[in-house]
Amino acid sequence: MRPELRKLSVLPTPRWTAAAVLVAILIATVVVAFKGAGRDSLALTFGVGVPTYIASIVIGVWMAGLEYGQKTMKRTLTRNPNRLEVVFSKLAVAILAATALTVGAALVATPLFALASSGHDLTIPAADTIKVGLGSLANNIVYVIAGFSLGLVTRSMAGGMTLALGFFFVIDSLLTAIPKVGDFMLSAVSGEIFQEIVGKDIAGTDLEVKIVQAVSITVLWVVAFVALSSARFLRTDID
Amino acid sequence: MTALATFDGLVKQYKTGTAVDDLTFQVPEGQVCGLLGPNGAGKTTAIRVLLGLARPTKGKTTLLGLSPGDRGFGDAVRQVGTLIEGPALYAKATARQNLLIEADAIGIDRPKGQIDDLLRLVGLFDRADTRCGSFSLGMRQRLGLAVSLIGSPRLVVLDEPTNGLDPAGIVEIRELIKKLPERGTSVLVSSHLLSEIQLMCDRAAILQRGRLIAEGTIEELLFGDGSAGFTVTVDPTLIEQAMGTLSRVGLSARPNGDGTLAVAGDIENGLSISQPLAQAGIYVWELRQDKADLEQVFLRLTDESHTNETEVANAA
Repeated sequence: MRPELRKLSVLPTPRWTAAAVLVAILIATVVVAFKGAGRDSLALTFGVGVPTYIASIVIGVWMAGLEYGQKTMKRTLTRNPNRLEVVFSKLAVAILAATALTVGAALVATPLFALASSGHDLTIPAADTIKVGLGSLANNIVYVIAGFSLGLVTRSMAGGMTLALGFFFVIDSLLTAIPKVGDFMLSAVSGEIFQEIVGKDIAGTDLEVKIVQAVSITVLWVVAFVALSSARFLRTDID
Repeated sequence: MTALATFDGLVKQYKTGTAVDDLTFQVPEGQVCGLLGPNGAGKTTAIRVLLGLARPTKGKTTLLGLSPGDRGFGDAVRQVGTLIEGPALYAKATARQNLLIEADAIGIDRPKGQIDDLLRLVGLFDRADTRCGSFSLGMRQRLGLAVSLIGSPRLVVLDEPTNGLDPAGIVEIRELIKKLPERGTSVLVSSHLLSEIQLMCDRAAILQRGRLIAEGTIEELLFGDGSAGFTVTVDPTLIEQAMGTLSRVGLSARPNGDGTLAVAGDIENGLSISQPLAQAGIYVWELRQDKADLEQVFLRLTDESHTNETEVANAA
């Protein structure tokens, strides 16, 4: 894991991603200070939830696509020819980064949102921001794994991002709208998990949560993502 | 002598054809060994199989005695530095950071001293903290070489290491590679530049269309079949007599048409020619060793190989 941690610390993409999340939090803070918290915890959704969600996908795709973009996969695999170990060490570091990013975002946003909303009727208590941070963390771990898998499948940063955004924002969202089928889609089950952690009021949803089923389906999605992407990576020659 | 890398009947086929065909070859410890052939000869494919990046169709390869998939192959490959198809560098990282990533991958603690030494060795110490994305191709190539040398590997595998370098850079890299065995690092270097292989290698294997067509020390390849020899100048009136004398000691001599003789055969040194001539009362006016080069050897060998293939095809 050491070389992957080093890449995370010296290469600019993770830093830029963290900076973008910070900017989103600051913008949300300014909006809250002038306009108040808004209904359905919009500030929390757009200040913490959505930025860390997109950042997690970016980090996941980057961790896999980086080696192809820089043509360094051969170098990586000649230092560690155990490809499964390479996949899991990269995945572990990507999860670590997404976790640090989400927790960090929640910790930064907590005092800022509380302070900015203090002049308004509807405040954002620290506990709410922390809950949203935890709910986002549960989802972001899944998204970073999915992003990583899609980066590994497409063997490129740009291809991975396109496929990830297409999958989450188009395919997954559309299929979620289909009765019965939608119950098994990732955005549906992750929504349930999020609501279970933060509560209906903060989530702004009123889903019928079957938590065991939701967690089981999420685990199946994660296993499918990792297995399908790794299978190709483990079997094929590296150009 | 221990073989650090071996190719044993290696065959690698793709849907488009056979890239490597029955390659058997060894890289002995303590030498600079060349893999020579034109583009598409199968050099890079053979190297990729050796390093476990591609699977062999048939045959096997070993690196420090282990094949890809063997227990301990990971440890073996970590003792091998590589530079394959150009330097693999993280463009947004500095030269030093690239070396740090590599040091982490090998598991070197406190690599600073070694990194500084390597940066000095390849002449990039002053640019250590510059992002390598801004480097010229030659600088990138030199950094790639430094990356391959971190951890004092037992073997470095270099694929076209002088690509993109200017003449001064080529000489620099060549001298560096030649000195690596003194540091305990053997070298397998592939190139399509025949003159480079001739100047930097102790031995070489010549590939054409995936097949090994010749192998041996550079001297064996250059002089082994008598294709190169000496040019001898004697009194023009004694040319016939000189030819007879040399023929009696087992050397072949023929007139070049310019008053000199071309002498070939089992010639240890110039004395093997001048001594029998002197004993016969013929004094050598000038004795010059012909400069053979791998290019001529390669062209002749590939021509022979092509002729043989054509004959086999016609017979079939």
